[in-house]
Amino acid sequence: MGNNPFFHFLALSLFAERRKHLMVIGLSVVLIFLLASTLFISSSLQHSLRSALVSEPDFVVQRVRGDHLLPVPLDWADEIAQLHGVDRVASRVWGRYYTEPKGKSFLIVGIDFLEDQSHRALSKLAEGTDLRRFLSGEEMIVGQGVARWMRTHFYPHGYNFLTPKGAFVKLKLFKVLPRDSSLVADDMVIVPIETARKILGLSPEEATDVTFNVPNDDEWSNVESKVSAMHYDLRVISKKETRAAYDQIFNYKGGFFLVLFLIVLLAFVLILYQRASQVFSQEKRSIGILRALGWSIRDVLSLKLYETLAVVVSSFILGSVAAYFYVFALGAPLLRQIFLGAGNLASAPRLVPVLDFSVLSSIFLLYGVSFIAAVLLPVWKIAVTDPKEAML
Amino acid sequence: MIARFYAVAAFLLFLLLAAFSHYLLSDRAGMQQRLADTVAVTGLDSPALSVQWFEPRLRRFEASLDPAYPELLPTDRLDFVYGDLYGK
Repeated sequence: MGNNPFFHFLALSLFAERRKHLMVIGLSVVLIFLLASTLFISSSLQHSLRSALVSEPDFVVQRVRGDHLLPVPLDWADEIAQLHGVDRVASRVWGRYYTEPKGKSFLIVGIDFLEDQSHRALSKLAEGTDLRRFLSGEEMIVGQGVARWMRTHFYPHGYNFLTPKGAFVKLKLFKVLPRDSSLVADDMVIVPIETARKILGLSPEEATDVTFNVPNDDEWSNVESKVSAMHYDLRVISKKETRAAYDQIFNYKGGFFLVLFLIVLLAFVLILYQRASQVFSQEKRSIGILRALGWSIRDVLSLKLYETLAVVVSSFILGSVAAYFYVFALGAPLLRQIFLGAGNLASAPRLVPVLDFSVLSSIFLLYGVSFIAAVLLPVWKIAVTDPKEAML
Repeated sequence: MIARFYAVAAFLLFLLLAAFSHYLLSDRAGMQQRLADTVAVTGLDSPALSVQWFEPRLRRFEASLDPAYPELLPTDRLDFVYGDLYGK
């Protein structure tokens, strides 16, 4: 390649017009960076949530009246457990606790230590700590966001929760969850189930909802209809519906950016096309000179094609790599708030690196093809004219 | 010029290699495992969306109010008939 005169001429031409190329590369890098960042965030969140869904129970049963959640009687769990094909029936206690009305909120989650699976998972999570102290009921495990909020509000070692009955429940800080779990647990406060009941004002015979698994996938719809027929005011939510809901949230936001990108890309291509169609007299002359020197139309088009490819590939690499480090090394400051919100506690989860090659190739095709077409069409129009006319 | 061209190409290649090595060396499995461990404890896998008080925090498990009129309760909530979950 180094001895090829065509390649030498191409390199010369690229550096001779470097100011023009750098401007186009700069604009393209910004466009690709923004789009790739949003799509990286979206695909990383979806990937993490899908893998987290594996640990989620297959079905959730809630008591609903007028689209309003009511506590579920614990008897419901026993009724569901009697159905054939149903496994791991458990009651959950969770709810939002507001530090002040309409203020910041924590998600209180009660853990039942008598349940074997929860106990084992908690032992793993609280490795290296004295779990018996946590089981005493006066300690809590909090997410990163809650720990940050407590520090900034002068509660470095614990917090006093106000129950609906007006009494205070004082809980000491036992452990802060790792940053890797912030995606689901940033605003979470994990406490023993009885403590959670006190804070949320539930009686010992009540829970927020009931969960169960159905190991045989073929029985899902049958069991779902059986459970739905048990009471008039219950709602059964399957894992598949939850997955669809998450996909919808992030695809919607990612898709919204894609539409914005397409509009911006269209404007960019129009500007390029307009600029290239009113090719400067100097460029017209250079194409005319090349043609007069004996270059064929094909040679001229190849030169411009390689020139444009160099610009497109450089912009794509710079934009994508910058987006990769911005999202997966820096955690996508500012942009992540579009996906995760900023209305409650400031959330800063670590995003799992996910390289979705279909996303990358789509960006490259959308950007590259339109860019190359916008540059090559006007060049072809000049190249096919008589060299004398082109040089005028 | 050809030397400069090679230098630019080498720089771009270095950037690509840096991104790939970050991807290969990052503890992706460990990160996902820690996330899965937390979900195994709580049973709640909903993303910790930083939402306003009138928005649902757990999608599919909580209903939202009308964000345009947060003070206005939806007519189907029927709080006045059944009372509130937390006795407010």
